[in-house]
Amino acid sequence: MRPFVAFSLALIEILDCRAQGIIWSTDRFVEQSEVPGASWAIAFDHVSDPFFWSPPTPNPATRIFSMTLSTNDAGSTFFANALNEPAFGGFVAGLTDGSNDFIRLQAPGIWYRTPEQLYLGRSSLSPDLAGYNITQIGFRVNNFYDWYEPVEERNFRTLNYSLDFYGAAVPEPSTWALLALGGASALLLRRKARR
Amino acid sequence: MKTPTPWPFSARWLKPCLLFILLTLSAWRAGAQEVSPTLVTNPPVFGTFYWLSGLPAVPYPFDPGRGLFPIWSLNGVYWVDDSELLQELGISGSMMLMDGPDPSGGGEGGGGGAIGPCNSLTNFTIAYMPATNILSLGIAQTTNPWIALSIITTNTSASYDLFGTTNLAELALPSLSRTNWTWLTRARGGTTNFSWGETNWCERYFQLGTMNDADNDGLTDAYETLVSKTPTNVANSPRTIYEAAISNQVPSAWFKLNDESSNGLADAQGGLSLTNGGGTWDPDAFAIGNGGFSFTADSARLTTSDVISGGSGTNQGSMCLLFRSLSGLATTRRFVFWQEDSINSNRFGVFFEDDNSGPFPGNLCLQIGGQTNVLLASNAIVFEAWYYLAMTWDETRADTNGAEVTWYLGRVGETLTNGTINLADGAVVGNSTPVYLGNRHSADRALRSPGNGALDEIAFWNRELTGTEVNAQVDTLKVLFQGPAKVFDLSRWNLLLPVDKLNQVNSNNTPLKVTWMNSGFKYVDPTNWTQKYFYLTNGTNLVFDAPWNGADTDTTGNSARSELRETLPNGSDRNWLPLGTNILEATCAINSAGTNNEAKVIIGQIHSDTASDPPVVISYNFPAPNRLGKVTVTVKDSPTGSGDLNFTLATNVSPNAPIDYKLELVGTTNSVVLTATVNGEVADVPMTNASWKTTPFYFKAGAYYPKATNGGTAKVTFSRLLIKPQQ
Repeated sequence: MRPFVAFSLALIEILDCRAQGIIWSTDRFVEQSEVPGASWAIAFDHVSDPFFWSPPTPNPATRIFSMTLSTNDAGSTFFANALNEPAFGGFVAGLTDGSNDFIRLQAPGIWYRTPEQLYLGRSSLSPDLAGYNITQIGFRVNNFYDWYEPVEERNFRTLNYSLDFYGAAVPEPSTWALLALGGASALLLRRKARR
Repeated sequence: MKTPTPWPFSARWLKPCLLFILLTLSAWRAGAQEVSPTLVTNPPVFGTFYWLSGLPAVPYPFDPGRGLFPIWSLNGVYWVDDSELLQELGISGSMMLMDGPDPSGGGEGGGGGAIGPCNSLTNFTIAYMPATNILSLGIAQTTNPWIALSIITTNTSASYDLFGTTNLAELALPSLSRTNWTWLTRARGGTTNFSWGETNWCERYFQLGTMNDADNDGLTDAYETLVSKTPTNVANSPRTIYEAAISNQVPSAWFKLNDESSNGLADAQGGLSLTNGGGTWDPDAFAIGNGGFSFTADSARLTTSDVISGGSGTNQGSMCLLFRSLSGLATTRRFVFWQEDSINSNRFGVFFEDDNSGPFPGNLCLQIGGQTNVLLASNAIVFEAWYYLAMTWDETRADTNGAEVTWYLGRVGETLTNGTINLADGAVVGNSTPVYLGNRHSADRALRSPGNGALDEIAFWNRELTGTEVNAQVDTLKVLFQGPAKVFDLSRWNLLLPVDKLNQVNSNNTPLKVTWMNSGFKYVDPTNWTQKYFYLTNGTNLVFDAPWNGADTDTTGNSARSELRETLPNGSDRNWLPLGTNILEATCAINSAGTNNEAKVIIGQIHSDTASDPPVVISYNFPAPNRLGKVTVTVKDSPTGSGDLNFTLATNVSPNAPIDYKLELVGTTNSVVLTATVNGEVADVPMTNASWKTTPFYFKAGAYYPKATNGGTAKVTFSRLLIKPQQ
């Protein structure tokens, strides 16, 4: 009886891991001086090598969401996955390698480069999304607007956005072992019953 | 049949048993700390002790940092407290050290464990004086010729003062008077090893004082209680402190050069004849925040009678003075003081030799007994810095008994150097002619010409002061100069203050520039003797404070600042081209950003004298409409253009919250890139205009109030500040 229960639990966990949904989400903002109404050419990438930031150059192997963004895009969500972004795999590989590398957002004139732990709001022990099978990333433009700052006497633009990471947790090896044990037990019980 | 589970392993008893065990363990741990719950809930009280019990952290022991402060030990041996009954321990004078690092086997009050002689100490007392912020330690040592005191703290950022005396009676509690305490040093957390005195039999008593400074005059309460004997709740003049040390030694003539009653020379002369030989002089140059000038005309000097005890071959005498030179070397000698005589060997004085002739060009020299002696080489002179100079002599001393003359010289706030001069047989010190202060007898060779100079507090004795007496004078200066450079490496910075050279806060005037901070400079307001604009708080953090109406670099009223500017180690401005990596790193907090914290404060810059505006600025502001504190960075598009890019790297930063920032300019032959980091958020900004590659840059840091129309003050406290020059 007990092997059956273990088998069932392991099966449930694996099924749960394979389920697709938002497994992590992070809210971010970018704020800089800008001419009102101008559109922004932006892109995200993942970097671990200083080669890419002095002077800053794109990392073609991890560059996603390379697009032009206007204030009309506020409220929109864009998706990147293995089918529509050639560098999606590279981005996800960096995001799940267990090290605290950088996620960059290229905005006009600036490359915002944030350590993954800070960017994702994770712990130092688990700074990135290692252990997850990320199948899709959503870029949610929560707000994108111009405003005037009277002290500085100039116009600014703020981009409030979220990155939503879809996928599932990769089952632990112990879960696989439990599943195998349960399956073997089931087979043995079946053979025993037949005899 | 199932066998009954024996008690206490039955399910019925299991939970209560576990609960009991947990409660017991909890109570045992709590009891081991010997901490009174009443005291824990109260604010930390200085000087209280708790039995360490070998635990890694104990709340509220001796607390120089006025915060949680886990462990103190003396010579690696812990001592114990007795619930604030430490006065009894002090009076007892009994052995309170326990021989061994772990006192856990003992009880409170040292009444247990392996108590006995420790490290050959024959006496150790401890006294607690909560009213004065002083912890008293007494150590008597008979078996070794010197005392080494080792103080260990786990809070490496805390500061405390160490005081000493050789008078056993000084260890008595406040009911007895204390007279002979000396300020020895200021120590910081970690391990401080201190030795004091070296005699065949020495008895040294120490007291530790916190940085608590109730009247914010830069003199701790402990110092004022023990040493200066000044009120702890009234800001006291540094002049008064220094003059008290001079007064105690009863000089025979003393020109304080004060103007306390606005009577000019009548105040300055101290009763003796003192005439002004021309030009103008500003009194009290040393005490008024180092901004005053003296002897501001070529012919200026003060003249008095022969106050120098010497010249007959039978005299003893001493003198001391404070002086500084405000600019570079001159083409003629500039005299600090001089006593003229037709016989060369009778001339006596100190002067800066001219820089293009003579055997000692540019050096600070002492002429005495027919000899010219170099006191300070030209390349070691720090212009604008105040120096203390003392000389003592005994004309009768035979050569077999040592040199006739001893001199002492050092920048105020620092350690003295000294030397001796053995005069030839029959040589004398000075003569019987008038003494000229700030110039020589006839020519226009004032300390001023061609630069400016200052003299202050000139005192004479008709006896030979001891080295101890000289050091007693200097110690009062040291404690006055415990400014930020004593904690921060400011060897590569100079400072612009929000006051002008006359200590006035006036946005129409040029700010005072200080280039000699390594002495421990801090700003003391001469109107009320309180620390302002640039000083240490709690002995560890550097405060920059710029009022809205402060002196202004361009006298436009919109750039008051208390701000450092990068220099070379020799004090000259450093300007670097962007090749390699130059880094400015700091941790700071905004204490005030104008009225209602609604103004902008610049906390760091990468500046350039060839650019129309600062190329890179990091600032803190509260932009409308939501008034959330933000840290922003502005980067110019080009050195001469008006365009720039401003971006936010941190938001919701409250006043007093830490801001960790780094400005890193990385240059190659092909590119210049600014990397700005604020609280972990990083931005890489290519500075693509080709002119940046040939632009010389320098760093600035502090509190710069660029648009002071908001009123109030811009106040920033730094806990960390460093520059990493080109790598």
